[in-house]
Amino acid sequence: MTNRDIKSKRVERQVKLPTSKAVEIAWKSIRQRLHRSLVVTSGIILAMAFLMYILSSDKAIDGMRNWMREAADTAEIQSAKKRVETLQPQVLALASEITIAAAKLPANASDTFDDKKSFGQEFVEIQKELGPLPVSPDVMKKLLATRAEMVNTFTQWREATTNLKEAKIIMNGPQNLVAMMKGNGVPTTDAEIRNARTQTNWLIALALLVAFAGILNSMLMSVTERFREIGTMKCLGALDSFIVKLFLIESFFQGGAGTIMGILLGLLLSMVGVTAQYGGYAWKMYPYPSIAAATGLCLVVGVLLTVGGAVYPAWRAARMHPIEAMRVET
Amino acid sequence: MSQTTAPTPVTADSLSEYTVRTIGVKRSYKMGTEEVHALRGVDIQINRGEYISIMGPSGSGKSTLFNMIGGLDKPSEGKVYIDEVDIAQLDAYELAWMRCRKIGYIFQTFNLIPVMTAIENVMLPMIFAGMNTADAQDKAAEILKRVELGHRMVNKPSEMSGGQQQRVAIARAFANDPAIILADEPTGNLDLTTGTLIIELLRQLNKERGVTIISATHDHKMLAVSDRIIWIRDGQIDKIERREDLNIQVGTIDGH
Ligand SMILES: Nc1ncnc2c1ncn2[C@@H]1O[C@H](COP(=O)(O)OP(=O)(O)O)[C@@H](O)[C@H]1O
Ligand SMILES: [Mg+2]
Repeated sequence: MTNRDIKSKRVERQVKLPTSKAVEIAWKSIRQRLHRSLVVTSGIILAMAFLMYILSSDKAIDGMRNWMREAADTAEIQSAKKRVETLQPQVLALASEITIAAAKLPANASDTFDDKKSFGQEFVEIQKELGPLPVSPDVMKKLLATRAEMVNTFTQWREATTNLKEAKIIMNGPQNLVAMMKGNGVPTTDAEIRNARTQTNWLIALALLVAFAGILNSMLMSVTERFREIGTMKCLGALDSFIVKLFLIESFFQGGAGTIMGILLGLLLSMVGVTAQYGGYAWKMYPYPSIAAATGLCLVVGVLLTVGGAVYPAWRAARMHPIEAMRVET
Repeated sequence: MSQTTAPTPVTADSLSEYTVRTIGVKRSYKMGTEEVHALRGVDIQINRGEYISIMGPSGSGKSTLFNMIGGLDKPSEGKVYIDEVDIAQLDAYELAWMRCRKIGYIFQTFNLIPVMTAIENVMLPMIFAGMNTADAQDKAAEILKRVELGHRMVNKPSEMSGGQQQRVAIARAFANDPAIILADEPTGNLDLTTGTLIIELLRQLNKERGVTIISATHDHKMLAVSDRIIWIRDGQIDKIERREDLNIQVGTIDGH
């Protein structure tokens, strides 16, 4: 009998296991070392959070720029403008009414009044909120104490001034936002934006690079710390292709989970960030569709990067010699 | 070639075919410019059902020989035959099949998969062999009961003592009814009593199942149960002794 004959009689070829088995084992492995997986995944989380933060902050600022551009035509601003136009003369008329009445006051007028409308300390608050009164608080007190109809006029002035102030804030919103953006060093004119685009793209490229490095590092760590385990599996009859599958699937799960967590973290941070910087303006025209698109992009990029980053480590793991399993560290 | 009666008597038939045979096996490692000769030409023949101990001081080449026989490493020179098949001729799939079905490995450091329970560890080689999960589960449970771990089947390795872990490893090595069990220092990480129990268990399984056991060790407790002892020194066979011949010397060996 030749060696070939004996071999064909006594040695068979190892069966290829279905991918579902690899999924099962990979899933078990991740679930069992959830804590450990999270440490490995944290690299992915941070990288994807960075990418998502950059993208969604950029989109949010885009949204605010759009608002500034389009705000002038919006119903909100138009009606605010109209209100300013009607309130402005009203306030002036009421103020002059009060000034004229004050001029007529006798020098020895009393400044104490017994009805419930006690304007004492309250003047300070009103001035803080609305700016200087038409006349000084002392004169105002005397006026209210001696001229009953002035209480009504003053109340009207106060109301009109409050409304005017609010309408002005709405009307001047775009200018305020431009000032805020300038203060934060964010470009506002078209030319500036075009220049900044390049800068943002570099930042995004950097974020991707960080993500890839983080993922590659995570996967290499995961392979390195399991040399013995991989060697043992090979001794038990695992084929190279099975080891590769195991690591790719594991990294797909880990990458998927890490990417989702990273996206949520990045999005949250950017929402908090723009709100802290721009307050309500951030939400005037928050670009939900482009944020959703950015989320989708990050998801795809994250999973591609994780699986891509695992290819080399998985290949290294599969190529590993089964004797590694035997090595006793001394 | 009955698998259940033990140990197979050396007949003319079994002599002509060895379970393991090596011819002039050499293995050297390159360490920088220097060459380390771990094996300097080893010829051994091992019969089916034998219990063999490979003895020798640390660094004598036991593990290297273990790797050669187990198809885990290739000799620099010489040939290794498993069931008269030259393992150098096997491709990756055939080697994997052999590691899975023909040989069971036991390691000094147990090497259980830490994230798997005892029964999952024992099932793994069966899964690799293509067995379905339900059958694998039944069979793994049966073997675990045989090594007296019926009560620890769903425990993780980290929840078991060294001796228990090594028994799981033994159960795993027996998972696919291999012809050969290779053990490298199986008692190396165990205390005296636990080590003795492990050695006895291996001997019982050897007798029960007619499996060939080859154990690299420098644990002299192995001497008493081995059919033959292959003494290795400096990468060469120093002497080969049968147990019958050994009985006279046991006193002096224990006297060390
Ligand atoms: N991977 C390796 N690289 C270099 N030298 C090695 C390697 N493995 C073993 N050796 C050397 O080969 C010799 C035999 O080692 P080994 O077979 O592990 O001995 P034992 O198992 O009997 O203690 C030792 O001198 C050892 O240093
Ligand atoms: Mg050794």
